[in-house]
Amino acid sequence: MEHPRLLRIRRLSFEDHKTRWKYYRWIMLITFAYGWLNNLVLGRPEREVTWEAVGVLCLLTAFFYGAYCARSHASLPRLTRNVEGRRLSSLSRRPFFGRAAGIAATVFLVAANRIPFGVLEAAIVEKRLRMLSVGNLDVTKLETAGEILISSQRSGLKVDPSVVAEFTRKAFEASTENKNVANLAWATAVGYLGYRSSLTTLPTSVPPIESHRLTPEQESQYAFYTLPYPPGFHPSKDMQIRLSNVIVPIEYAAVMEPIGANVNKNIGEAPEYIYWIHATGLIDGMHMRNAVFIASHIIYNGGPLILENVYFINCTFELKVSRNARRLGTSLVAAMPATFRAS
Amino acid sequence: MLEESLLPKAECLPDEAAVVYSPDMAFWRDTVWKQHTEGVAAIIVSDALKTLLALALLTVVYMGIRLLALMGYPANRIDVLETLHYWAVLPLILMFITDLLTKIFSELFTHKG
Repeated sequence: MEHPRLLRIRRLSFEDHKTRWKYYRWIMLITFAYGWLNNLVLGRPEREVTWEAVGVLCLLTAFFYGAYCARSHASLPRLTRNVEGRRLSSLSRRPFFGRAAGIAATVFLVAANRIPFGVLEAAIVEKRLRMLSVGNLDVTKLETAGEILISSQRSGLKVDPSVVAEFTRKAFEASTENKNVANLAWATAVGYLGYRSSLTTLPTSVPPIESHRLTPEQESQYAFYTLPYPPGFHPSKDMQIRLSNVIVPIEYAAVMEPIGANVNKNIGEAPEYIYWIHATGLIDGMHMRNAVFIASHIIYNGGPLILENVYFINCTFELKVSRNARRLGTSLVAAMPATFRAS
Repeated sequence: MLEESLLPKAECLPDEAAVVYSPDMAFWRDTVWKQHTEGVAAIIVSDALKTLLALALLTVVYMGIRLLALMGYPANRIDVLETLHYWAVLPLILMFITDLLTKIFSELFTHKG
C-alpha cells in the first residue's frame, strides 16, 4: 500500500495530530448528540441506540479519513514533528499533560475501585434517614424514603441496621396514625424490613450451611413441615432445605411445624438448625425454632405464630395490615434473631 | 587488588554508576523508555494516556452525580444526568478503540522501512 493518497492515513494517524484531534472532537460530539437525542429526547431503547451510535462513529471516522486522503497536498498542514525515531521518553517532555497527568489518571482509575466510596455513601444515607425519622412522617418524607430505599438496594449499600430499624419502626407507627399516609407508610415499612434483612449476617455461633448431610437414620427420625403456599404462589426451582449436622437434645433442636403439633416428641436428639434457601411461604400458624431463612419470600397475614431464634437473611416480606403483622415487623427490625409470639 | 575491589565505595555513592537497578527496572528504563525508537508506540501510549485522563474526569463527574442522588436530587433529573454521562463515555471509548485499530492497520500496511 504505497499509494501517496493512502499514505495519508498513516500521516493522519501518526503525524498530523492537530487535524486528527479536530476530527475526533467532531466525531465524538456528533455521536454524543445522536445518542442523547435518540435515547433521551425520542425515548428510544438505550441498547438499540448504542449499536447505532457505534455505526455512526465508524462511518464518521471512515468519512473523515476519506476526506483527508482526498485533500490536495497543498491544503495539508505542515508537520513540525516526524513520527520516526520518536522515543517513549519523549512523552515526559510533552507540555500538555506529560507523565504526571497520565500517571495521575492511571492511579486514580486503579484507586477508584479500592477507595471505600460505599462507606461514604452509606453515611450520607444514614444521615438522611435520621433526618426523616425526626417528627411525624408525611407523604413527602415517605416518598423520599422510598427513593432512598431503591437507590440503596440498587447500590448494595451497607447502612447501619439500627438507623434502618429506627426509621422502619417510625413507618410502622405512622401506618396506624394518619389515614392519608397509612398505606404508603405500611408499604415503606415493609420495604425497609426487607432491606434490614439484607443487612443481617449469620453470627459465628450459628453453624454454616453444611455440605454433608445427616445419616439416613437421623433423617428418617426427624420430621419438619414445609411452609404452605398461598394461592398463586409456586415453589421456586432453586428452593433448598438443609439441616445442620450438629445434633443436640430435642429441646434445643430446630422446630418447623404447626403450633402444637410436636411431631418430634418421641426422638431424643435432632439437628440444631434448619436452613431454608429461596423459599416462599405463609408462616401463619407455624412454630419455628432455630430456623434460618435465606433469600426467601415470607408472607404473614397476622395469624398465630411462634418464632424462637429465627434469622431472616436477604428476605422479602409481604405483611397483611394487622396488629400482629405490625408487631412482627417491629420485632424483626429491632433485633435479629427474632423471637416473637402471636396468638 | 581483589580485596580492595570488594570494599564498599562510600565516597562513590552520588555517582549514577553506584545506583543498582534490578534487571526488570533496567529493561523498562533503558530498553523500553529510553531506547525504544518506534515512534508509533510513543504515539499510541500518548493517546491512551489522553483517553485515560478524559475517563478519569468523567469518573469524577459520575461520582458527582451519585452524590447528588444521595443528597436527594430528584430521581428523574439524576436519570437524565446519568444518560448524558453514558453518552459522553461511550463515544470516548469507541473513539479510542477505532483510533487504535486504525493505527494498528495503518502501521501494518504502510510501515516505512
